[in-house]
Amino acid sequence: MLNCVNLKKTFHLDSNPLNDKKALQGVSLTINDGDFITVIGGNGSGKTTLLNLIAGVHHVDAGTITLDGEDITDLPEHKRARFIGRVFQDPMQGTIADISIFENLVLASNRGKRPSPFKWALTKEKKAGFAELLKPLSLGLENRLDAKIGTLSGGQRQSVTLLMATMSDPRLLLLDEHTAALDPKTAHTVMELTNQIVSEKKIPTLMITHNMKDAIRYGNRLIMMSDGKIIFEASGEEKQKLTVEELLLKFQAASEDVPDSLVLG
Amino acid sequence: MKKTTLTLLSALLVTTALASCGKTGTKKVGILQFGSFDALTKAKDGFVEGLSEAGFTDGSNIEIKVLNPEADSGSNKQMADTLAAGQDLVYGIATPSATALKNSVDSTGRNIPVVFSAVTDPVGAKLVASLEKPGANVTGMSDLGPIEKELDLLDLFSGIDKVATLITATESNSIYQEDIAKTVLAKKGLTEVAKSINNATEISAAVTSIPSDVDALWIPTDDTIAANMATIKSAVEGRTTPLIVMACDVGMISGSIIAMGVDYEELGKQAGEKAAKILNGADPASIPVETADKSVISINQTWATKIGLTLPEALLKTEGAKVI
Amino acid sequence: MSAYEIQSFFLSPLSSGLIFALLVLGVFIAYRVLDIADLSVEGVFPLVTVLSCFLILRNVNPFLVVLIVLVLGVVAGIINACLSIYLKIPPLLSGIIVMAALFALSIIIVQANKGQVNLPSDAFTVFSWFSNLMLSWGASKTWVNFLSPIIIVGVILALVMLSMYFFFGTELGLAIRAGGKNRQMAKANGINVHLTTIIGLAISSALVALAATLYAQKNLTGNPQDGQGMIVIGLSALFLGEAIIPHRSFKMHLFAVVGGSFIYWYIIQILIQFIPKSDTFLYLYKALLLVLVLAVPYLISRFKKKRAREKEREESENA
Repeated sequence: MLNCVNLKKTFHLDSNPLNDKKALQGVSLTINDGDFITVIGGNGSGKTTLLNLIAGVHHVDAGTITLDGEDITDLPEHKRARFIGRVFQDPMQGTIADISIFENLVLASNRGKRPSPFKWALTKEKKAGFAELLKPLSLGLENRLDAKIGTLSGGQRQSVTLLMATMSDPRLLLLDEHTAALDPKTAHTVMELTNQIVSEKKIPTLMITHNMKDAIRYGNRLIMMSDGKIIFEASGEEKQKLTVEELLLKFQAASEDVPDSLVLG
Repeated sequence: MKKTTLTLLSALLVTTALASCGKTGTKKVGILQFGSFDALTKAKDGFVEGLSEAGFTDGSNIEIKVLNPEADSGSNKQMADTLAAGQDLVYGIATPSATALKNSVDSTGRNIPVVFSAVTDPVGAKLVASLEKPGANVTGMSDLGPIEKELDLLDLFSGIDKVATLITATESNSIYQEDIAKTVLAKKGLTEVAKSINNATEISAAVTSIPSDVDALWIPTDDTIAANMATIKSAVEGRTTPLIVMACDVGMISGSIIAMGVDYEELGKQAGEKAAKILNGADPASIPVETADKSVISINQTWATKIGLTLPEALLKTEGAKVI
Repeated sequence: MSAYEIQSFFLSPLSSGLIFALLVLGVFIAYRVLDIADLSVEGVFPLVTVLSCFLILRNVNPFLVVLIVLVLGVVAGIINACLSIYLKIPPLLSGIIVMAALFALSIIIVQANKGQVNLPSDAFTVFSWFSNLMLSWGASKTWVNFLSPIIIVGVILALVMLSMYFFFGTELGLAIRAGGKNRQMAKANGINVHLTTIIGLAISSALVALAATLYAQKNLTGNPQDGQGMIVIGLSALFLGEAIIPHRSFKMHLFAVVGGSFIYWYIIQILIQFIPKSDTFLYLYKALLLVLVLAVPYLISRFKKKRAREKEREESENA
């Protein structure tokens, strides 16, 4: 269970305080075991900052983050990676293009463990294991383990990244608009894959999406952010009954500019 | 592509190998000049002249090959290896080149003679066993100048108390000479203000940082500084009090008041004479290492007047002094 | 050309190429694996050449000298990394700072020795040890002098390349490579990129130190000026090797950069041997030859692609 209490974060873009970006202005959120939370909001609403604070990319200005009772507010990013899996919007960010699928998967499988100078990284056992993991994706990647990730398409890379993020049974999965850069068909495939993995492994998940239909369809909770705060929450049946029009109205009520990507979704 | 390059290379090799087959009887003389500094170029020209005066002319009875690594130590070594493999006598100008040649020749085991010049401390550089009896196949000319004699000229001035010294810290010759100057100044009861630079861009700042109560500035035969006397000149002119600049190479007179030392062209010539002796059959082991026969001294009275320095009569009347 | 000249033409650049291959491997780790522009090479190299001679003049065992300079290299690399990690100094600058400090140290050592640290021809070095061994086996003196550095450095280079291949295939090695290729991804996968940078730079500088001590012990001389242009040579060799030798895998990449060192020194040898007036225009010719060597593979591959395209067009027309 992840508990964020009153998180605040301001970015100082330059020395002029008028140019400060108040990314988060007091966000509290509890992610329970079994939760799959979708997050929507306009540009600059603080969604990515929230994810980054949870992942440890930035220090919080105020507030605390506890994971299963343990205070991780000041834990460095690479130490948090032990129990957090992440998929980024940019397919290039979650993997290393220059090296093979196999090597990327090894890195992910060793996440959180101390890399040893005495253990061989690329073993036959691991390779066989990864092939088994890749088969259900039906992308044929299990036969291409030695291919460089750079040769894969965006959808294939995101699928691999998703696999990497969930491989070592993380306690939390953070997805930052991970289908945004994909074409609609591929995006749907990856979304279905995400849903499948999350429900099978029961990983608490926080997913930012710009697609309001997806936000309603997937997950058991929905939160809407604007101007660094959570302005609306829905869960369970209430969430399922939501429509895109209702959400748009809520956006307007918060006098927030709705970006085209949310409308066209 | 690999195949074509290989055939090209071997074709190149064969043609030039054939082309470089010189006339029988010509001795091949290789020169390794460490860098294009003025003093070193003079030492090279003098050498060629010295050989020519002794009857060895390039193109008739000798074939001269000149290589210049432009102070790059990797290329220096490579060039030394090349010369050591193919020449009959080699001449190294400046300590790094002389050292490289000696070691390369040792490696090939060919025992060809190595002549050097512009090396201030041949014994310290392990080039020769002693100056009088070099002992092996290496001999040459040291450019150690009459440092004590020059500093004694300061006695002709009155009220000399502090003397600054300026060297380029990477030049071994300069370090060696400054060590000698340090001892001489201590003997004379003068205080030394030691300054050093790493490259030419630091010259101006170093001279400017010399306190105004310092009376003189002494500079050894330093390649870097010698190539930048104009900077010394303007830095000294920018001072409030005059500075008696003393250099150890007459080539540096444009930026000094007194320049006393070896003439590099003369040095090269004497090295050439030694080389000629060796080509005629003499054994380098018994040819002593010398410094130039005569020391030359120039006095820049024009500049002295410009910076408000009155030169004592006794100085201007020094034997052999060329006053400009 | 005499037998000596032919022997020298082929073997002299080989021994230079071998020693510099170690330096190029160090440069490879910094510039390619860690993606750091590390200028400390120009300080490590001269300090180690000067220190090696200084210690051997004082009868320190040459093998112990090798060990000492390896430690020195590791320390230099760690300090370089820490300056940029913990004091937030830009990596380029921290390399320059380390270079300046080590360069100053090399000058201090030389000044303490009256200006130079040349070794006498009978100095006890790793090469003299091996030469004496070879002579005791009955080899002839000239061959011993040429082959001793080639064999010793050849063996060292082979061991280093093997170690690097194995090390970068371990979990730690993979982590270091990941940190250099995509810092964000590495952190998100639990890799302490600070630690991997420190270890990487330590290894890089240690390799440069190894190259430097072998250089000094072979050439019996050390000079604060030795560092000048080392980065240019190292990078030239690196780029040359990569341009000419295919390097899709890590293993091939190692061979490519080592190969680049040999290509570089053979090019210099050709320039010295055959180009007239190379004393004044060496750098110009070197630049021109580099352009030629780099452009030719590119032009050839373009020509091949054009031919392939034309062939394809022909085939589709005929089909």
